[in-house]
Amino acid sequence: MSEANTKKPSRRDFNRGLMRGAGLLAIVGVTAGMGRRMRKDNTVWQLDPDKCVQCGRCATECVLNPSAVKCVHAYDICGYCDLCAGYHQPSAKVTDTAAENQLCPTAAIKRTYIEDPYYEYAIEESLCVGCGKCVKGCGAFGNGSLFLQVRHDRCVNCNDCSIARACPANAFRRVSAEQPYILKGQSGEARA
Amino acid sequence: MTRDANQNSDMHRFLALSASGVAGVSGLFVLITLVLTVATHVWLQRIDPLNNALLVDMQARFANDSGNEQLKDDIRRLDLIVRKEFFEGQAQVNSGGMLLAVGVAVFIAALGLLIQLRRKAPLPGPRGEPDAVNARARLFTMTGGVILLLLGAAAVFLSNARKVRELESGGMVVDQRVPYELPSREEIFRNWPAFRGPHANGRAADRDPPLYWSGPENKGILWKVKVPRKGHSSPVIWGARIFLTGGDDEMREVYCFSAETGALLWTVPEKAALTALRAPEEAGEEAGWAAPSCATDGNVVVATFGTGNVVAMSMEGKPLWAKHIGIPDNHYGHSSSLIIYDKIVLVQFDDRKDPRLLALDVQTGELLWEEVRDTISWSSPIIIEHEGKAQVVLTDSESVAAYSVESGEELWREDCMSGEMGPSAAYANGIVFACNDNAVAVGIKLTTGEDGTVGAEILWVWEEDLPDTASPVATDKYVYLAHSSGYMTCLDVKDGKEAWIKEFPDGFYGSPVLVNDRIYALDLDGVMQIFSTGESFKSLGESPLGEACQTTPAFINDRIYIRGEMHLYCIVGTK
Amino acid sequence: MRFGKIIFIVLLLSCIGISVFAVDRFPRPEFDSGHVLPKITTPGARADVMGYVDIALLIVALALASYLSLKARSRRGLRLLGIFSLLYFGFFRKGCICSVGAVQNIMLALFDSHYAIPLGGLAFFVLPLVFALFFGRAFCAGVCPLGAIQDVVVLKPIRIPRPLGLLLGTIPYVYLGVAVLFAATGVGFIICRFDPFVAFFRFGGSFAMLVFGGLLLAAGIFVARPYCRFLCPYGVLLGWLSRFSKFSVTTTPDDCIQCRLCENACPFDAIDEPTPETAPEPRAKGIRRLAITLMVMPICILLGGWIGGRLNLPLSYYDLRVQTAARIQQEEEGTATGQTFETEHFRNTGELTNNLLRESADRQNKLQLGGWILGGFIGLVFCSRFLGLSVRRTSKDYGPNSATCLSCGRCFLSCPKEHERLKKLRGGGGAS
Repeated sequence: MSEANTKKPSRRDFNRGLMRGAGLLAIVGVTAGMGRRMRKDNTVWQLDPDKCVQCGRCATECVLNPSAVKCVHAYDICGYCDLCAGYHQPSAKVTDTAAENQLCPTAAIKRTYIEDPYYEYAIEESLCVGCGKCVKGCGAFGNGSLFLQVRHDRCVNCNDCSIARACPANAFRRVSAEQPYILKGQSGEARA
Repeated sequence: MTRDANQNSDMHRFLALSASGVAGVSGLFVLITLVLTVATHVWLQRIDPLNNALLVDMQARFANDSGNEQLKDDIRRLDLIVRKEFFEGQAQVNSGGMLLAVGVAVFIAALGLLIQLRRKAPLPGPRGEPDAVNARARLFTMTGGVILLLLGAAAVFLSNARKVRELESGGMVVDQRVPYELPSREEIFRNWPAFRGPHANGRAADRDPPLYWSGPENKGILWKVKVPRKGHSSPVIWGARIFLTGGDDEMREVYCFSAETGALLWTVPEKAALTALRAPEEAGEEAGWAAPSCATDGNVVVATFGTGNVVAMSMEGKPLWAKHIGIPDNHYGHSSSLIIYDKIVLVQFDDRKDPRLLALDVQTGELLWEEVRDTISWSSPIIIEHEGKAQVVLTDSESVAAYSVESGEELWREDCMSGEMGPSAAYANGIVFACNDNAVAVGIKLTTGEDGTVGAEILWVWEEDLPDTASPVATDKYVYLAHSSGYMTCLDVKDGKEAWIKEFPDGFYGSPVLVNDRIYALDLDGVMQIFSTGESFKSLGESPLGEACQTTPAFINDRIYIRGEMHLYCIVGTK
Repeated sequence: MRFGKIIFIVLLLSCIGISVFAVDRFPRPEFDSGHVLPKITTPGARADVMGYVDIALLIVALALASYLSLKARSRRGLRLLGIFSLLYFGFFRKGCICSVGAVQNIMLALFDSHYAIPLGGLAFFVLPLVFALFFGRAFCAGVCPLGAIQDVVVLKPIRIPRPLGLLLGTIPYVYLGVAVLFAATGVGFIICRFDPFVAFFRFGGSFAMLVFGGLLLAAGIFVARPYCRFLCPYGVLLGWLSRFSKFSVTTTPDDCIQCRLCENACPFDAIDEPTPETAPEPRAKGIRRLAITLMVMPICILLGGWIGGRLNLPLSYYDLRVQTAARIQQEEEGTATGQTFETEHFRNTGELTNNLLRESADRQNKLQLGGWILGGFIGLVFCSRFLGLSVRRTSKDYGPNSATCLSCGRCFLSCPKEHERLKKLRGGGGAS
């Protein structure tokens, strides 16, 4: 197959070689320039709960359905209240688990009696759509133990995170894949 | 295996027939699945439990009519239906997508096979005419280019996109200005308006602070209160109010305590004045979030934190303005305190990346001028009034330099320092003193040229073990240097010769303060070493606080205010 | 009792109207029953080692594609490789990160000191280019999942008129230019956002993009690989380099016998024909056109730049933060009443308004400079196109154009010499 190519080098071939050299140089240049700006670990997207304003876009903007953003619970800063502003409707008169008193639109929070007067609240992730309604309630009237996080078992790590683009609080940023969460509570305090 | 032979075989016919059959069936399947999936998707958008209009309406009605059992049951029933349909619909859309993918793959494969089987041998057509093609292509390219240009021009002229500009008000609410009255010089010197007191020079006059007290025995302590959040900032006092800052990863705050009772009068969080939340990941371990002391002029309190935010509030704690200067790139943490002179807040923002000295309007936060600086430091600005003109003197890791408070113009500069600069300058009687560990202590005499220009010349240099944190303090005769190792050095201001050196049991981070004819130096263990300013060392007292201290005390009338690691103390002393 | 406390707090908060933070409003409980607090689960992100697997697979796939297109000359092998790439880089890896979008990460890393590019991003950008420099567009032949998904639906390719094809071929330059501008100024990654096929790979995405992707695939049955030819910005870079590649795909394994059987074999219109014997247009006319074009060129570049520089404001509105800033400014000036979703929520953050305004103004300024360069670049592209079309190139044989050939291998079997070669191979028993 290479008979055609083994003819004596013409001027055209020489020019091609020259340009190839230039192209190689450009690629090497870019790579070398990137050397300083490179990191070995991968990055993933995460949202900073301190910046989050619970606008609700995490539930609607993610390319996945349901969203890769879910509510998580920092149990160690939870007050285990009977009346939970993250769990109950603001208008709730009775602190039970009835539909009319629940805040979560998908009933993704499980309320468990621990001991008088304490109740534990846990997120059922398969039901959570990341709307942040509970986060807003808990942040405004409770200890702020509920917060949103990108869950990396679901996130497909888009190069251009569509929630990050739409976030009015600029709360999304790339973090190291080795520490892919920005947590509240004890586990979060350890990071600082 | 030529194509002709292939086309006539039974095998070929059978293949073609089954391929078209599979293509037809899978095509129909794809079409049906597609319609169903899209329909489900559209329907899902409508029943979305997050925004289901009917449910929201019923909830709202129930909130006002909580006794309505019928409504309650309706809500429960609808809630269940909506959630069930939502999740089932989602599962349907997802499996519909999978089915579609499989269906399309089968369809394409079958169709591909069919086309392959029916392919005819290529037959070359008439030759094209490259010149004609090129001519048309040129025309097309030109037209395309012109269309693109016109589209661009149309976008430029039709777009109503705005150019964004910064607001002159600095993003604050303008009508929040407070009545302002320029404090007199006398008022400034009666109060403790900044870190190290009036003009941040560590000197106080006309006061009679106590000599003896004991924190552990609770003797001579008028009151003691816990400061909500930690910080290395020192108390700043105006009238009956004490201002402190504190902060941690969660929140940075400015506190106002009553000087009389120690009651916490108000707390203003850093973000209250529309402050940026943007902050470094963590504060420098040594400095923490709240190392810089605040400053006041009796009208406005200005504070800054390791976040690079400067916040201002009224004496009553009403947020006035806030300004983000930049995230300090500082490995120990930002620690330079603020000072106010003649309605100008001076911010020494000496970080690694972008060191600057900024002058902000105390009423609006507006940037009045900005001077680019050379290197990082942890020291604070001091004010000196020389020949009727105010200079702000800064020390940094290379030099000691003075700037005009009015314009920011550099007045003089002596490149005599090195190392990591912690101590601020001191001034007495026409001489500026500066020192740093691993560098030198210098006396710099201010000069005035014949044309009135201000200059400086190095008077003497002393090279021995020197302080790295505490700032010097000077009388007209002697300058005192407090080391973090516990040594106290007293040098003659005229020639830099040592008058005496004394070793104390603990080191000094807080700066020594001159009050009348005494030096008060608070060591790391919280013990106040008090000695006279005479030729030789003479101790006047040694009073313990019972709490570790890294701050500089404040002196007002006959009282001393000290911030320890946890508490704020008011000391009146025992006889 | 707790209930009363909440009401009290509600009242308190509504009175002072301070935005809230995580604070200890309620003491943390001390359980008598010895209840143990559950831990927050933190399912890990994809392990970094998998990134190295991706890079290794990319190298293997590129090498294989080069081998299959240049040495083995196997269309079937390339097709299988394409299906593998579609399954792995497409459906399994969900299309991120891909080489096509990686150019944006490179630009962001170049211009934003806070962004460091992961090794994978750099490798995915550089490796296909290096291969293109030596072996032609092997990446397009069977490695790129976007190309592969289109390649399987090329069923009944029709030939679009070459002048139209050439005109549409300028779109990728514009797309690349805008993408680079947006990435460099930190406005966003449009190549990723408007990637028509990534939504299929993820089985989810915006409805509009799914429809767009579906339409492109449907069109792709007749117009072969439309994204690759008329949109793909990375293809521009690959084309630049493969033009000078050391080894190029050839239709014939031997010398061309001018049988013209391959004339219609390429669905991408990438086979160049030999220059006909007919007399060229008068020399003087050609030279005059060349001279005029060269004279007009700087004007085109400047005009493009001038318009591009002025496009900064409309372009900046692609960035939602700039839009928010512009709206906030209007609200502060009193020229707009009420709040939008973005401004309302932005105000909840407590971030300084001027920070946002400064950042946005800065972005608009950067876009102005970048817009000048972009406009000039587009002007240059069109002029060079025009120039290239004004020069008559002489070629003696039929063969793939090394810049536009996607190395797919469809033309191999149209050449009678290839059949000869295969026969020899089979008969002779493995001559190399």
